[in-house]
Order: sequence, then structure tokens, then C-alpha cells
Amino acid sequence: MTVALLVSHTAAQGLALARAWAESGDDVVVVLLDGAAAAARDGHADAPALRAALAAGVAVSAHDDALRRRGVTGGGLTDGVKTIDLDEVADLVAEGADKVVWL
Amino acid sequence: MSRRVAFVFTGTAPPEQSATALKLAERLLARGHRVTVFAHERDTTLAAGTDELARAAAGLLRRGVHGGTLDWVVDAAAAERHGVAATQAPGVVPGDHSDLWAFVRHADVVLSVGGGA
Repeated sequence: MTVALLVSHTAAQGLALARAWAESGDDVVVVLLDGAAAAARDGHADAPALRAALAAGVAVSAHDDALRRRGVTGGGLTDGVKTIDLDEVADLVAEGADKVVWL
Repeated sequence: MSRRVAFVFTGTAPPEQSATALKLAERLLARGHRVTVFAHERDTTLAAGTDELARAAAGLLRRGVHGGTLDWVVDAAAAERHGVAATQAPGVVPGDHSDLWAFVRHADVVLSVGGGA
């Protein structure tokens, strides 16, 4: 099952949940939105949770507009994190996942 | 394939998340998906004010209601409590939890906006 997890708050909590799902065998896509997008910045306090999720096979993306609002540019992202725009999020929500959760 | 996506605005989301949700709803409408919105508590003011969020909501309503692909219901009791029952944008319908249940039951995807705040 493919699960899309949109995270606007408490990135570490969302990433830990995503990691648990991935370790249970689900394909998990995390989209870091709004305040949670800051966790994609290299060196952020939530970096351990982010790296653990990536290591478990979670695909992690961060919303480009949310990153821009926080002054995070492409070079400042943690390795393995992709940027995503809202058009791609819309496609993911409507057609790209079996389950969608927004935290 | 057209999907039905329900947004449940809980009244607890920060403005940034509400704005993201409205933009996401607009993108879904643009792709031909059907969008339903149910607004609780403070979020009953989303389609009733004059600020940036209200303008975004009004734009979404103009697009979606005229295209027949958007339903927007506010919790009528909450709208009364927040003093916005009479100032909702055109297309907003006062309702109750039976409408919320109908939206959820018929949706392919349900997104709770603010539930994790």
C-alpha cells in the first residue's frame, strides 16, 4: 500500500510515523509543508528523524513555497530530500496514494 | 479519473496551513476533481472576511461553485458564535454534522486541516 503523509507540524513525529509504516512494508511518501518544511534544512534539529526515515525507505519531499518562505534554498536541503510543488502534491493526493493523512 | 476530496477545516490550523489547503483545493479543482469543504469553529470565518485568506476562499468559491465541482458548508452554529453567519461569501451553505458525514462518506480522500496542530 502507498501512503502519502502530509506534515504541517511536528515534523519529527510525522517522520517517525512514516518510518514505522515503511518498516511495516508500506511505500510511504512524506511531504513536508508549512512549518514542517524547515525540517528539510540541513542541520535542523529534526535531522536525525529525517535521516532515519530516509534510511527506512521513506520518500521525503518538501514544499517549494514553504522552503522559500523560510529562506531554504536547494543547496541547503538534507541529502535525499526532494522539492515538490503544489501541483505535484495535488496529483499525489488525488491519484498517487492509496491512503492520505495530513498531520 | 475524477476523485472526490473532502477538506475538513477544524478551526485549529495556523493561517499558513489554511492557505496551503485552499491552494491545494484550487489545484484539485483545476484538475477536474470534486472538492468538498466543511468548516468548523474559527474556520467558519474563512469565507466571510476581507483578509488574504478570505479572498483566496472567495476565489475558490467563484471557480468551484460556478463549475459545479465545489461544495462549501460551514457549521451553522459555529458561524453564529463567530458572528459570520450573515457575511459568508456567495455559495457557502450553512449546515451541520450531517453534511460533514455525507462529505466524508462520499469522499475518496479526506484531509483534516489543522488536526495535527
